[in-house]
Amino acid sequence: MRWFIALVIALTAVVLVKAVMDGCLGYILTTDVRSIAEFYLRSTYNVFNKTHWAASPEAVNAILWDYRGLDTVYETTVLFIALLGCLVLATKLSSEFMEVGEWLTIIARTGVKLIIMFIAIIALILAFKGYVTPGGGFQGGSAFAIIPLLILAAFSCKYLENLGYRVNKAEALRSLGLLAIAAIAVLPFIFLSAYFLQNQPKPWIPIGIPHVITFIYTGGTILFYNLAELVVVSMEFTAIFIVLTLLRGEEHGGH
Amino acid sequence: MEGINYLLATYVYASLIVIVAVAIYGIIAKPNLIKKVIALTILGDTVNTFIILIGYRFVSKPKPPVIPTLHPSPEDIINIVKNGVDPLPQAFVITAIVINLAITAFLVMLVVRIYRAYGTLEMNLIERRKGEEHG
Repeated sequence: MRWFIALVIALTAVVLVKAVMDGCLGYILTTDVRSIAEFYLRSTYNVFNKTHWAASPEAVNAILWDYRGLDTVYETTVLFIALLGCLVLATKLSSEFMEVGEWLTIIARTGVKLIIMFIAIIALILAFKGYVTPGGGFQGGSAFAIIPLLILAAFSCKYLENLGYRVNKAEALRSLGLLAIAAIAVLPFIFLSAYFLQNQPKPWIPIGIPHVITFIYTGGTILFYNLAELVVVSMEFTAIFIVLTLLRGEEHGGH
Repeated sequence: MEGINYLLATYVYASLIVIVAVAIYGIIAKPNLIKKVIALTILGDTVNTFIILIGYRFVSKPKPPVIPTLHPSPEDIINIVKNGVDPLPQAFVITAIVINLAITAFLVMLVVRIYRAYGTLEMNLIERRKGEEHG
């Protein structure tokens, strides 16, 4: 058995080395990019030729929510189903285990209270500015989900519930975010015969949100997608953290 | 400059391949389920790094795929096309990271259920207890 495992690992390493050397994992050590990447880089904020532009100076967000938006929609679906599976597996959770764990020292608790404010600001900036700087809904949501995690670690589940974080509430907010994404993506498609996930007006379909509203740059629909995704991701992970902590409490209570 | 770049890239690829091998070893050989999950996350992150590296561009001053101004001149756009790294792998990796996280949470939940049913996380002990139940 040992020899078999060693053989498998050695074979994997040899195959990967051969693949990298032959360039099967993509061109390495190249000074060029693929032509599709060049297209994205050229057209994402090309104010001189607006046929295919996404109104977002950051190409990654433009790809996520405009050029390859369908990928992201299905990815959000996978996230939704994974969390559904988590909640189904964690049945029979009762609130008698809410007071899980001991509160940390007052130094740690004060530190957490101070830090979560900054984390909230960073998360919101990541989501709001996702279309001009590196960042976006996923990153902002993941950063925002740190807040309930820190509170769970320093205080307890009960404290988090008193603050207003509950699994049901998180689920409801997440569903609202998903509905917002679906509405922005589908409603123009149904009622105005625009493209699915259309962002900027095309010459043949002049439908879209203006990329500048008075003095605020929105990146078309990208800003709204990012905000909805912030709510979706942060609330999903909040629910997962609360459920995992409750499971730990159940283990303690069972013994 | 070229030689240093080549050496650096070889070093990074070699270490990534070693990490992939270690992760696969962990998934196959470790009997503890939590260790298997940890190895799986290591494998996922290494593969993500591979994908990011594919998009890297060995020009003298590679730029992130962001146009640094809201009122770009034609030179800005030409500059980003000449020096920007590939944004497509980065977009894929964001997707992959979030899915990885969700799947890890799901796996941890499954592991918790297994621990409740059998009282252990060691694969061989679980097999034995299963045999006792049936026998």
